[in-house]
Amino acid sequence: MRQQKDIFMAFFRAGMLGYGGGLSAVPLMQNEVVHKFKWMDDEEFSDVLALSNTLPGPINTKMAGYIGWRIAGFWGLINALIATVLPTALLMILLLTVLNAYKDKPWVHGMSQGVLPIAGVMIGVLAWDFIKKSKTGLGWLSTIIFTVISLVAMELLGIHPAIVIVALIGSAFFSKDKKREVSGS
Amino acid sequence: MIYWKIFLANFVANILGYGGGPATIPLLEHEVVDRYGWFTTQEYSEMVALGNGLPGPIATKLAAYIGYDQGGMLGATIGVFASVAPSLIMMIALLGLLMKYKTSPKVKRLTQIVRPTIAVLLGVMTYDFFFIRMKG
Repeated sequence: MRQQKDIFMAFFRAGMLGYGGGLSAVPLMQNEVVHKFKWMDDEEFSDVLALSNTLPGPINTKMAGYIGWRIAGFWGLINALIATVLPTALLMILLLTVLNAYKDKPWVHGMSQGVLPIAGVMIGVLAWDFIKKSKTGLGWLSTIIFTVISLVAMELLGIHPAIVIVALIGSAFFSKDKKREVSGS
Repeated sequence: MIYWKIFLANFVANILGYGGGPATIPLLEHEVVDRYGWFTTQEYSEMVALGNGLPGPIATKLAAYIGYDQGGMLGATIGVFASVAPSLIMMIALLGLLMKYKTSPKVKRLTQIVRPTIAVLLGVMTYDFFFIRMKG
């Protein structure tokens, strides 16, 4: 029981203090899991992080769920997930519901108008992050080629992103001949 | 069946979102704005901005609100479940296998090769947000 309380508090703190999306919570989580409660050592933790990065979907919840599972089985998993997701999910529902209730008030309306460019800049920064990261992994040439292909496929030809991504994943699996990348890394 | 749609929208966006929560943002927009028409781009941008202002993972916050808006508390639960469970189950089930291949160039390439596509999606979304702003 005490352990479950520790799990909850560790992931609650890491989740609530991690502003700016999943990745900002990783060092906080590491602090709780490795240094404070000593459930794992640094190496194991970075393995879990690397694996979470390899799989799709939110990083945080995969890490929380897995670490909870490792410490205390199924209920540890559920507990860590609830601690990570529930508080901020409820906050989000509450805030947006209140905001929508006052939608017709001019000050709320003005606020929503102001939000668009802010969100635009935010997403723009994220887009640039992804370009930078793919440059590090693939190099400029491949990054530009894949960017142009994706742009043409999705925007000009109107192909659903899911199809583009699945095709890319397929090509990553089946392109066996590109051995030079292997020796390079 | 609204619950099934909530599940599907979040499942598709998250299972394809390589690169964590932020990668999910444009994919989810595709589902809930373009495909199902539950929100306008304006409404979605408000959700993203507010979600980013709150702590914690972004994908689950969006999932919770989208689910709640379309199907109440049960909808929110289903949305969060769809965004979290599939990849978590994969992680636990495939752990041994993944550990073995975690340094494999193929597995690395998997994440890398999708990044430019996600960047394009985010870039187009940026354009949309500003373009709508100018019209309004």
